[in-house]
Amino acid sequence: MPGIFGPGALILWALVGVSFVIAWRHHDGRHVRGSRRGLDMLLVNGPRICVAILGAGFISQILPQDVVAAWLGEGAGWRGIVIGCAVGPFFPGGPLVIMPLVLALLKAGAGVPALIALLTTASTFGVHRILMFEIPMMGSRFTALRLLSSLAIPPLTGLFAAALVQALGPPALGH
Amino acid sequence: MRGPRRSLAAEAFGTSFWVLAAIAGLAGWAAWELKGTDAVGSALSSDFDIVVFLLPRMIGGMMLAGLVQAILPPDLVARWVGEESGLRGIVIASVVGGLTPGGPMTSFPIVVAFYMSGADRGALVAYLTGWSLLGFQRILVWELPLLGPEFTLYRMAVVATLPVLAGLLARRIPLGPVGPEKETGMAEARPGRRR
Repeated sequence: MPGIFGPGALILWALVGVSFVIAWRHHDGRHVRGSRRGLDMLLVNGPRICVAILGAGFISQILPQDVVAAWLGEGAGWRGIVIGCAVGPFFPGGPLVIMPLVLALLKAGAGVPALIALLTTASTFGVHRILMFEIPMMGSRFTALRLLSSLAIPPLTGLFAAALVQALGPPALGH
Repeated sequence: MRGPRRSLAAEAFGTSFWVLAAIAGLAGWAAWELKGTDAVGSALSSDFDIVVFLLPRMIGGMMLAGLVQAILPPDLVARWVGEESGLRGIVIASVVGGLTPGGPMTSFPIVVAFYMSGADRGALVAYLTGWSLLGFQRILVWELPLLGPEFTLYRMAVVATLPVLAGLLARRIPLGPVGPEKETGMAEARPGRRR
């Protein structure tokens, strides 16, 4: 297991320290409000994240690894990116649903380009959010304009991610 | 302070916790049925490693998310958009989108307010794209703890410039006037112009 306090965690905590000092220098209790808000988020989301990790671990055991690797793996190339793009929009429920699913697929052998493409379409083309928020609040013509402007984004993320993985190797997971 | 604390616990162990727990239970049972005890054991030990590895990052990520919200309240940040045009306007809208905390219940009222305060279509599209691809709260609260720092950095590097691209394209797509079709009653959500 890589070090628990690796460079990533140190940078993160340095950022926490810097923003705490910035908040404190306002002298209006922002540092307390902000820290409290962070703790609240931790209390609310910590238990959910733990069960999500647990579920994702089991699901990755059940998923047929050879199938996942063949269709979504690094070697699947374009096909993996296209599948990722195609299924992304149909997951309702935001990060609570999509992040554990991506973790399970990652552990079962899916490649980073396909998963980044999936996360991209889930957040930019999420059907649920478009129907519930965007069309009612911004109108269908604005929605069409935004979707047209974003059409190239998911395949581009898949391609960029594939290039990045080729240059730097796949990212390390926390295990 | 008992009230808010108790409602936090209620939220933490609300429906979504139990749904996730039920899924985990079912998947655990299925893994045990299909693959046997060893599979369950190896899943548990790898989950434990992930939790131990991610705990300091998860706590740090959420503290950072809370502090950033305290330093940059959304209504202050909102004033930066709409006052700028050109490429600068689109870049600022993308960044502001990434700085907007929360889900669609926060970002859509803000985008309606931008529209009403005269932001152009490029800025509106860039804002929503920036929020959905780079929203810091989702990254710090969900992506970093679950998928780990390296995956998160890869994804951020990959999507970093794309909100700007979407905004630039939106200005060039010939599609009549865009905007809410009817009064949405969001006027009170207009970003604070206190002065």
